[in-house]
This record gives sequence, structure tokens and C-alpha cells, in this order.
Amino acid sequence: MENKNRGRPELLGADATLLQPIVATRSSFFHLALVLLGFTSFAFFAWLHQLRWGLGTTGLNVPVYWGSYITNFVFFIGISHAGTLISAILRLCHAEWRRSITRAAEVITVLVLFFGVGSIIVDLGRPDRMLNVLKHPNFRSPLLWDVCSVSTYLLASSIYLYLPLIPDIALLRDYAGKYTGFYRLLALGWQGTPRQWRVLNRAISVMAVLVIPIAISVHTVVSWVFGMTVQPMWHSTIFGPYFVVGAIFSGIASLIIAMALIRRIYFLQDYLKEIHFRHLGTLLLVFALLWFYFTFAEHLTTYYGHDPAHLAVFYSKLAGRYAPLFWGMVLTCLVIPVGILARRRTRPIRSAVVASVSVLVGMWLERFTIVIPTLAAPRVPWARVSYSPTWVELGITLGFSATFIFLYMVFTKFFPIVSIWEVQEGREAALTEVAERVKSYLPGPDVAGGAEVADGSVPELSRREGVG
Amino acid sequence: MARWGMVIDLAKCTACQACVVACQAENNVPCVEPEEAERGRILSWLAVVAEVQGSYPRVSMTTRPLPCMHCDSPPCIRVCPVQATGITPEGIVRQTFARCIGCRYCTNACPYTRRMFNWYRPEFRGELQLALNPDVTVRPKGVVEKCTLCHHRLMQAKESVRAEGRPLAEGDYVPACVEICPAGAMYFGDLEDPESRVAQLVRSPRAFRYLEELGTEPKVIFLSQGEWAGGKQEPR
Amino acid sequence: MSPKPNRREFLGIVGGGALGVATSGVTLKGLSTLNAAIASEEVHVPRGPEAWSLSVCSLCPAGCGLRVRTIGKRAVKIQGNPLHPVNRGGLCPRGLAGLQVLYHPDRLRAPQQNVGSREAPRWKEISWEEAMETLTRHLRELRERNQAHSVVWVDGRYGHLRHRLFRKFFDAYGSPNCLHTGTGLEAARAALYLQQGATEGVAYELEHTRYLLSFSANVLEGWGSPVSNMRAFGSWRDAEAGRRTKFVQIEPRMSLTAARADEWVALRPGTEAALALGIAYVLITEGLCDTRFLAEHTFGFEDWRDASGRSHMGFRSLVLSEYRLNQVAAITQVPLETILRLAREFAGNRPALAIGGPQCPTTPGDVYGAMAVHSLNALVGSLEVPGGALVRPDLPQGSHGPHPANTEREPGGTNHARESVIRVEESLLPWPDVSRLPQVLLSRKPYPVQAMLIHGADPVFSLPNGEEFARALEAVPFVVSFASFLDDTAAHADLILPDHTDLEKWQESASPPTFAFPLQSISPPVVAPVHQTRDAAEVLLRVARAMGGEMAEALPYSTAEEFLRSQVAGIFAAQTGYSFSTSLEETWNRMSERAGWWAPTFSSAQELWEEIRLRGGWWEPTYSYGEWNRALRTRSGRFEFYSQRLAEWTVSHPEFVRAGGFEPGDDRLCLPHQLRLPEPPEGFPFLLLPVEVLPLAGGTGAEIPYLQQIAGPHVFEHWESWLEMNPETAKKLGVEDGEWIWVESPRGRGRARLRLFEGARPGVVHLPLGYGRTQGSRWACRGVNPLRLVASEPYSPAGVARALPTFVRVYV
Repeated sequence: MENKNRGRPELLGADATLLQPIVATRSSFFHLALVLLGFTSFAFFAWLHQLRWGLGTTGLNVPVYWGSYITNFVFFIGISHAGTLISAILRLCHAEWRRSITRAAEVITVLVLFFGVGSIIVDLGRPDRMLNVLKHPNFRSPLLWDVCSVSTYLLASSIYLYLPLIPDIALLRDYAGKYTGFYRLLALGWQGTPRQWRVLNRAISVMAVLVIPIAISVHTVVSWVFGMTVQPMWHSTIFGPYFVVGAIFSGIASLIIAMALIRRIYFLQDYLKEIHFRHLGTLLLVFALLWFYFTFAEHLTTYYGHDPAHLAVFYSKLAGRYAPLFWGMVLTCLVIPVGILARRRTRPIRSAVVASVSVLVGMWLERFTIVIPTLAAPRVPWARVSYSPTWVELGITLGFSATFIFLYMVFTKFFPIVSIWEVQEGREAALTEVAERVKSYLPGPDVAGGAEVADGSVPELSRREGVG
Repeated sequence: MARWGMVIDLAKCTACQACVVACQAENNVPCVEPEEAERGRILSWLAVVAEVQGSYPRVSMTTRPLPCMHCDSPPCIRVCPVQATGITPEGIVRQTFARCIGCRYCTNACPYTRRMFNWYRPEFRGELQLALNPDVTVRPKGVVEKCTLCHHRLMQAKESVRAEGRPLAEGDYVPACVEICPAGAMYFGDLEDPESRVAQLVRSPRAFRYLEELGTEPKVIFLSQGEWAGGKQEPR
Repeated sequence: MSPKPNRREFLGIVGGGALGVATSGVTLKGLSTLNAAIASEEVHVPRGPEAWSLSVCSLCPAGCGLRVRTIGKRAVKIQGNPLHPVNRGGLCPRGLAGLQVLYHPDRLRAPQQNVGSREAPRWKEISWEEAMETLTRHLRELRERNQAHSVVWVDGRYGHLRHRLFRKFFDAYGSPNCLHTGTGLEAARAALYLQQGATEGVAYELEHTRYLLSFSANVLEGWGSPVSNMRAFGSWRDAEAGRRTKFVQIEPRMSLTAARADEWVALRPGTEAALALGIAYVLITEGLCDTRFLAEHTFGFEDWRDASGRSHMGFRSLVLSEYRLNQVAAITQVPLETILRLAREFAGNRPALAIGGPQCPTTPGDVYGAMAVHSLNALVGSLEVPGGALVRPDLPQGSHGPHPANTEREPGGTNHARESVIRVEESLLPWPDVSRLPQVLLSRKPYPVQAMLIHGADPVFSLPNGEEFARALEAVPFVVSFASFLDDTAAHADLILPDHTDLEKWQESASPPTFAFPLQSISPPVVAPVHQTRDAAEVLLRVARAMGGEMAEALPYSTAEEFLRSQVAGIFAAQTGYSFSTSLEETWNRMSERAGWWAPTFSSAQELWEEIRLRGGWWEPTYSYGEWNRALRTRSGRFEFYSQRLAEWTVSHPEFVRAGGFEPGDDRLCLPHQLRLPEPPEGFPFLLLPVEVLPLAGGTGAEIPYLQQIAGPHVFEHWESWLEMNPETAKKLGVEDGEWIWVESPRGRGRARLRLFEGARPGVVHLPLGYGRTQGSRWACRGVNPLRLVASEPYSPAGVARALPTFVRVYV
């Protein structure tokens, strides 16, 4: 069967388009890749420069000891919530529209995490001593909690990305006609037997359940890096959920952008439809409001607390040096996305993308205005020094973003960015399942097997046998 | 076991900053170039911090020498991921330069902004290198450094009293800043020893601890300015 | 690259790039080498045997005792000499920074000869042999041409014995022009001379005073002897409740001193005299004066008649008629109740002391103001009492000349062939005013100066008429500088013979200004010279030897040490005083001396020398209060509210009388009074007051990084001139904190960073002194020199060039 079908993706029928990016690469891909790698090498150069001369090459100073690297760290870790969390929640909720977007989301998670971790490494004064974190760990330090939770999250989300990839890798092995050895290795001998399906579905469900608390813990712990100090406007109990909401918010935004690009570049209009953008747009809207609620609550509490140290930070954000950034953040995180998304949209994709770009900018600003103003207004009277990133920091930030995009592109060249089997499954089995499920919600006697429907795994198992 | 502490009498402090320079010279703290200073990269383990209140002519200004507070409950130690900072049994908050990874979490957690970071490799231009104190390691770039209460002096004092076969007495171990103070505004000693000068001063009604409300329990205790209470006015 | 790269080309480009990076050494291996490089960057400090030796600081006139730690051949730490009576183990930041002078990377490393022109100097390093030969040749030629008198020596260092050596040299050489730039306390000294007739040091026993009224004297920031002032301050605050000395600072700006005082009284700039006289008004009208003292020891308090029967106005009439409270309140803008309260407190807390005039010579403050302030001391009888205003006795006569700052020459008393180039006879005060040199040099009167030797002074930078000084130097054929750094003055020299810094030479110093006891500290060098430098004293000794004859006879010493030893023999011969000791011993010595015992620890000059080497110096810790014939040496033998010296002088200097807006014969000319305040000229709305900050006290030290870093803690400023301005004023101007801003006076302009400071008076702006060098070290040539903006008084009776109130405009 393998030999016969190799190199003939058209045998997959309608879903052959999904393998197209892997089978054929246009030259524009290489153009873009070169540009992105240009940024990457510039970032690498900037980092070497920083290693050679020290962190003095950044714009950091006393007392603004943390700057854009830590902002990037929080931002990237936030974006990583795109995937795993969204896809896991949607999966567990049996949101049928998830099928074509989960993969795109999960890849974001795994790839962007590297840049979150990378931001921390770049921020270290002595990266050569990085392993001291393992040699002399201090478990009282929130930064060590971060190390633990981020690495757990990286592991879990990699597994969570990999598991649903297996059937697709098997397809590639069988049909792609290139890198067969590579796919064979990764497919782990997947043959699609009922037992394999049962194990896989069970594993995916377990991971989906596991990954949610891990993801939430990751961003909570990131927020605790700030919250566990006594510094004004960092020391806040709301920071955990506030950061998680912000993370999901920026995650959704980045997912929307990624999907729009994939849709356009790989002609997947058929798979990533307007309805997906509508749904994600609504989700973005909800999170914009939720984010605003947290921001408002946080700042109002600070204002009423009237602690002078807190107020100094508060005013520097609302009316002082950081006011342009702060109000820019309100504009881009609240006014623009809500303004766009709350209206009935004639062109849902474009408006979702515009809102998402705005949200990404805004969330970066939000991280920035959380990290820097607090440091710039310490309790002890201090000289007024301002922080602005230098070319090294900008170079590394741009390089990180570019490298992330590059790796994402490379991923689409090796693996289908829309989960083929899930789409097929949706097409072939889910219709009846959903109908049955809906029936079970309605008044009247319970349909036989309703309990199993709720569980989710059994009907899928039964469907699997038909797919082969 | 001694518990080392410092008392700074703000009534006597003249804000001359001799302590600042003494500290810098004693501990091989480099002077950064003017351009770096302008960017806020001055390294000072001990700084005199001024705070101006009111408006002309009803202005007041407090000036406060701020070394590391050597908190009993130091926020910096809790956050260090690699145990590069800790508190010795004698209460000195120490920094292990050789272990620090330079994440600067401690610098941000310190509410007194008393931890410094080596943005560059320390530079002692030309012959200035000759003035380095061999008792104190010169910190490499990329690590955090801070006041050690001149820990090397404690080591030396212990060594010399051991040679003399007697216990450490008051005045055997004094940090450079306290030693130099021209107005005698700084005191240093064992807070546990009820007979020591510092222990007596701490009981003064003028004693307070800076940012005490944060619960950091500093072992650097300030004495407030006090007021001129005496003197009679000649009756009309 | 083809316009459409395919995969192969893409991989080629990426692979090539990677290879390129790899070959440039940046691979994983490269990274690990980089890490190794980072590790090897660590600085290892060599160890060596530890030793401690004594020395003396000469970064300001105070001359604190130092204790220097050396490791092997390196000096690694400066601390205070705990036995030194001036500082007792404490030090100010300047003293501590001595190491950065010693090891400064920009020190002159060898003698330099200017092989270019004066306008465009080109410096060539020469050997000491060559340099000495040049110097000796010039001096010998001048002497042979009978031009010895036309050699001028300008000294800015404060050493006492060394200055004596210089005097000896020039006496033997035949020049009367051995000048000193002064210590900056000239206004107070002038008041002491005019009102008490004393020419010795003005001294205050701050430690024992109960109430200190300071009129713009920056007591904690470089005035007098900073460290002993700080010690006194510390002891006031140590006093038990109710015994604390009250320290009132009267000053237009809230300086650090004002901030640390018990009370700060903000007054209108330049009205210190009026406020002092207003306080005098209250003292007089409320009967709070020490009437016995007034009756026994003062002159000119009441109206009086002279020998010719002409009646003259007394202090009392002047104050009662012209300095009534409401008038004074209006002039000074100090609330009336405050003046009243200050006067009552001043009278009610004895001993009370009024001190006046900033040390820094440029801030408006004047002889009359200093007289007004000093009059308060007389009114409450605070002269010659413990905790009062004293006259420091000179070092024992017989072996010692007067203090360098006291280089007074009684008119006509010169023993030289020619009179001094600055004719003291013409001036009010018996010491020459160096700021008059430019005038003298340019006019070539009374005679042209053929050579100028400048030691430890930088007049081009530090005099208000510095530019003029630089121009005048062009008129001198041979200029030699002994600067350790290429400074603004040295840049105009023909020859630079770099001097040792403090720790490299035999150090010595006498009593600091305002210190009440005669004192002499002496210490040997701590380290070997770092560079090819020589002690200026030894240079002159060599010249004397080379010239032979009477010069070699006058200076039969081959080293500075030998000379100092000979001087110590002189101190021993006076049979008084003690070597430095602990405070406990000091108290004991005082007690026994009061009881009539003098029990020194030395019994021969040799023993004294050894004790001095061991302990740092010799001093006389007992002050004899109430030696009226020493303290009051005016014509009347009393404290003169009405200065008869001024009366005599104004008669012969009508131009001064008219410049002050008086008619000749006006009695107010001889009494303390408030000078008229200038009006701001059109377009220059702000008054510029240069301020002195302790780290750069005396306007020196800008080359020292330690000091630059701590220059302006109240505005978080360092390394750069800053312009202090009240936030309200800034608001009106529309300028913001941190902005770079131009300050322009009719004389020039400069750019500084604006710092808003609530302690600055609205309408007044301040620039710190010490910035704006144009030559020298890499770190010193920054900022604006406020002295280049202020107008200087062409001729000052105070004996120092005083900057006039200068108005500026400020713009972005």
C-alpha cells in the first residue's frame, strides 16, 4: 500500500490541498525566509555584541533593571497560550469548528515558548552560568517556579502537538513522497488500527485535560515573578488571573493572524472559513472586555489604596512619562478591537485581523507598562532616568519575532498546518455525533449511549473504523 | 552569635558623602564613565539619597545615607533562583559573585534599590588599577553586587583576635563607611549584645527603620533628626 | 542570487551564511571561547605586605591628617589619622579621593616644554636635567641682569613650612613677589582686620558655641575646615536634650548646609548685612547687648567726637535710624517676627556666634557684610570667650614666619631692593590681591614682570577675571607651572615641572582656616613617585644649590626633609605645645596647662621630630582667652564698630568712596552697612549665584571621578554642570527638568542641564563651581564655569576679586 501510493497525494481526495504546502514550495517562500533569516542573523550578532560587552549595551539602568527582554518574555509566554489552551478547551468542549484550527494554534505554543525562554537567557548577565539554576536551585524563587512550569509546559504542549500529528504523519509517510524516512520515524508505526486509535484518543484527551492547568499555571507563575515582590503595582493578588486573561487574549490574536496568513498563502479558504474568524473574533471581543475589566479593577484599587509609592507608579502610567504607552495600550487593547469586533462585520476576516494586530501591539505595551513604570519609580527617591531600548534590544526582539515566523513557516513545509484526520473525522463522523448530542440536550428520553457521547471518546472510536 | 547592625543618626549626618567614597574605595567599586553615569549606571553600594519636600521658602530636605539594610527578612534572598545571595548566621546579607547568573531579580525585589549590577566589565583606567584593595574581589561583568558590611574586615578582625586569643570586642570590626564618618553619625556593632553602643541607640525613641512597613526588618536603623528644644528666649 | 531562488539556492545561501559565521569564529566552539574570554576578563588584584603610614591631605586648606594603607608599593586606601586634632579620624570625601589624584591616568608624567607658541602650545616631554637647566638658566640670567625682583611666584597650596621655604628662596633670590591666592575667607579676615586689627587667622570655636547664626557660610560644604566643622556639628547633635546647639543658616538658597541646620532662613540674595543689622537693632532696642563688653572693649558704638572735635555717627545711631525692623524686613524679605525671634534667641543662648560670608569668593558677600555679622559677636560679647570668635595665635615666633595666608607686609616694611609688584600700600588690607596681577602685568607697572612661577594654583580657571589673567600671561616672557595636570593656567606656560601629589612627598600643613589652635603636621612620603615628577620645594632647593653663593647659603638643605627637620627644631625651641595625641590626653594636657604645667612627651628636637613622624604633628591645644592686646590691635585697642583703618583709607581713596555712592567723609563708610542692591538690566531677568558644593569645594576636584559621582546629590546630578531653578520659575519659562538650557550673561554664555530644585529662590538660578575646565584631564573638561559668566569687581577692598551680582537670561 505504501509503495503504491507514495508521491500521489491526490489520492487523499479533497484534502490533498492540505499536503500541497509540503509537496511544493514557491520561490516567494525562500524570499521571505531569507529576509527573516537576515533578521535572525542580525539578532545573533546583537546578542554576540551583548555577550562581548555586557548588558551595558542595552538601555537598562539603575533602577530600571528589566526592560524589553522581560517584556518580550512575558509577551511570548502569553502568546503561547494561543494554542494549547485554546485548542484544549475547544477540544474538551467538542467545539466542532475547532477541527481546522487546532494545529495552527498548537504550533504557535510550542515554537513561541522557545523565544520566551530565549528572552530570559538573553536577559541574563551571565548566560554561561545558566546551569546554576539546576545546580543550586532555590525553590523559594518565583523565577525557579517559572523554570519548572515553563519546561513542563514546553514538554506537555510538545506532546500535545505531537499526538494529533501522528495520523497525519502516517498520511505523509504514505502519500507525500518525500522525507519518507523522516516521517516513518515520527509516525511510530501508525497503522490506524482500532487499538491505536483508542490509545491515541485517550492520550489526546488526557493531555487536553492536563495541559489546561499547566498553561494557566505558567502564566500565573509568570505574573508571580512580579507579584511576589513588594514593589508598587507589582505586588497584586489579581496578577495571576490578570496575566492569564491577557495571555489568552494575545494568544487568540496571534492565532487569528496566523490563520489569516495560512489561509491566504496556502489557499485554504475552504478550511479556514469566515465562520472560524467570526468565532475567534467573538472570543477576542470577550477577552478584550475581560482584560479591560481586570485592568480597570487593578488600577481602581491602586488609586483608592492611595499608597504614595503605588500612586507614583499609577500617575507615571496615567499622566506621566508612560502615559502615551498606557493610553496607547488602552486604545489598541480595548477601543480598537471592541470598536471593530462589536459591530456586525461584513468582512469578518479583515476586521478580525486588524483587531488582532492591534491587540498584539497593545499587549506588548501592556507588558511594557507593567514592567518598566514600577521599576522607574522606586520607593527610595531616585534620579529620573528614562529607559529606552537600544539597537541591541530592538535587534534581538525583531530577530526573535522573525525567527519565530521562520520556524512556523518551516513547520508548514513539513507537516500539514490543518489537521487532516480531524477534518476528515469531522466530515465523516461528527455530523451524526453532533445530531445525537443535540438530541440528548432536548427534552425526551435519553438516547442510548448518551453517557458515552458526553465522554467523547467512544463515538470517535466507532467512527475511526470507517476511515482506515 | 553576633548580629551585626548599623545605626545612622540623621541628626548628625551632614550629607558629606565621605561614607560613599570610603565604601567605593574600600570595596573596589569602579567609577563608571560620565556617559554611563548619565544613563544611570553609577555603582554605589552606599548612596546618600536626598528627598526635597515643600516649596520655597518652606522647603525641607532629608538626606539619608543608604547602605544595604541587611534585612532580617530580605526580599532579595527569596527571589534569587540560584541561591547566589543569602544571609549569614551573623545577619549579613551576602552575595556570591561567582554564582550569580545576573538575572537581576534581586535588584528589582529590593525595595531600597540597594543592589547594583555590573553592566560592563569593571574599568580601572591606567594607574587607577594600582589602588585596588586586595581583600575584595573585583566583580566581573554581568553579576549583581552589594554592600557586604565590609565582610573582609570581619574576617580580618576574627583572625587577629584569634591570634591574640581574645573574643571579638566592640570596635574590632567596623565597616569603612562607619570608620570614616567625620561627624560620627554612623555606629556599628552587635545588636545582640545589650551593652553595645548600637544596641543602646536602637532603644532610643528616635530610632526607626526605613520602609519599616514592608516588613523587611532592616538591621540598619536610623535615628530621626530630632529638634532644637533647648534655649530660652530672652523676655521682652 | 537569482530573483527567484529555489530550494537549492536557498540552502546554498543559508549554508554559506552559516559557514561564514562559523569561519568568523562564531560557532558553538566560538561561543565557548567567548565564555572563556568573559571568565578571563576578571581582574586579579595582587597581594603584598600591608603597611599603614601617615600623611596630610592638601586638597583644601584644612590639611586633615591621613592614615594610608599600602599593599606592597601601592597605596590602596586613605583613612583619617585618629590623632590629628583637625579631623580625629574622620575625613570628607575629598580627602578620601586622594588616591585618584595619585593614580590619575591623566597626570603629567614628566616635565613638559612648550615647543609651540603660547597661543598654540605644543608639548614636548623633556628630561628633568633639561628642565632644571632651563629653569636655572632663566632665573640666573634675570638675577644677573638685576631683574630678580621681576620674578613672581604665585602659590595656591596651603602648606605652611613649604611656603616658608619658597619665601626664603625668593628672599635670597631678590624677589619680593611671593604671592598666595588665599583661602576664600578673605571677607571675614578683612572684617577681623578692620574691626580688631588682627592679621592672624580668624578662628571660631564652633564646638562649644550654643547658638550659631551663619550668614551664607557654607559651614558643612567647604567653609573653613569642613571636617572639624562636621565634628562640631556632630557634637552639637550628641548633646543631651535641651543642650543642643541651635544652628541657623541664613541663605537665599537651601544648600545642604541649610538643609542640615536646625533652621533655614531664606533671605533675598546679598542682604546679609541688612539682616545682621536688623538683628543688631533688636539687640539694641531690647537691651539684649552685653553692655559691659560694649563699654570696656568697643569703639564707635555710641556717637563720638574725634580729636578735632568733629562728631561722628556711631553704630547705634546708624542701626536705630536706618535698620529698623520693618525696613530690614522689606530689604531682606525675611518676616519681621523671624528677625525678632532670631535676635532674642541669639542673645538668650550664650555663647552665641555669628559667622558670615561664604568661603567661596564669588558669591556676593562683602567686607561690610562681614563687618555687620562680626558686629553681632561684639554686641553679645562673644569675642574671646569659649565658643566665641577668636584670633588664632600664630605659630611660635622666633623660628616661624607668618602663616602663608597672612603674608601681610606693613607698609614700607619691605627689605627688598624693589617694592612688590602688587603694592600693598595702596590696598586697604595688608595682603596682596592676586586678582590684581592681570592689571599689573598688562600695564607693566610698577615694572614689567619677566618671569612667573605658578605652584598649586590655577588662576586662569579659578579667578573671576581668569580670561584677563590668561591674556596677561602673554605679556610675561617666561612662565613656569608646577601643575600635576595640564590645567588652564599651565596651558599658558613655557615649562611645566610636574609636582608630586600629596602621597608622594613630604607633606606638611598648618592650622586650617577658622581653627583656633596653632598646629603643624608633617609626614613623610607614603609611596614612591608614580611618574617622573618632583617636589616643587626640592626643585627650588636644587636651583638654589645650582646658583650657589648666597642662595646656596640661605637654603643649605638638600631635601625637603632636611628643611622640615630644621623647622621642627625651631618649634622645639619655642618650648610649647604637644605632639598630636588622643582627645583624652588632649584634655589632660589642657587641664595641666591651665594649672601652669607644661609636660611635653619630648625632651629634644630629635624626639619631637620622631614623635611628629609617629603621630603626625605638633600643636598647641590651649587657647588663652581674653588676651586683649593680642586680639584687639586696632588704633583704639578696642573692637571698632567704626573702623578707623577704613576712615584713614577712604580719605586717600576717594574713587572708592564715590563708587560706593557716598560723599567723602560720610561716617557710614566706616561702619557696617548694607550695600545697594543692583537692578537687573534689561533682558537679563535672573540673578546668577554660583554655588560651592563640598565634593568640588573651592572649585577644584573635577578631575576626580569619586567626587564627580557625588557632586549634586540633592538634584541627583553628577559629571555635568547643572542649573538649579525653582520649579515655579521654570513653569513660567516653560522649561522642564533635565532639559539642556543656555545661561547667558552679558559676559558670555554656557549650556547646562536644568534641574528643578525647590530650594532655589524664585528668580535666582545657580550653577556649581568647579566645572568648565578647558584643559587637563579627560574628566574635568565638562560643563560650564560660572566664573566665565559673572562680572568681577575691577578692584576689591577685600583683597580678593569678588564676583559682582550677575544677571542672566535662560533659554533653551
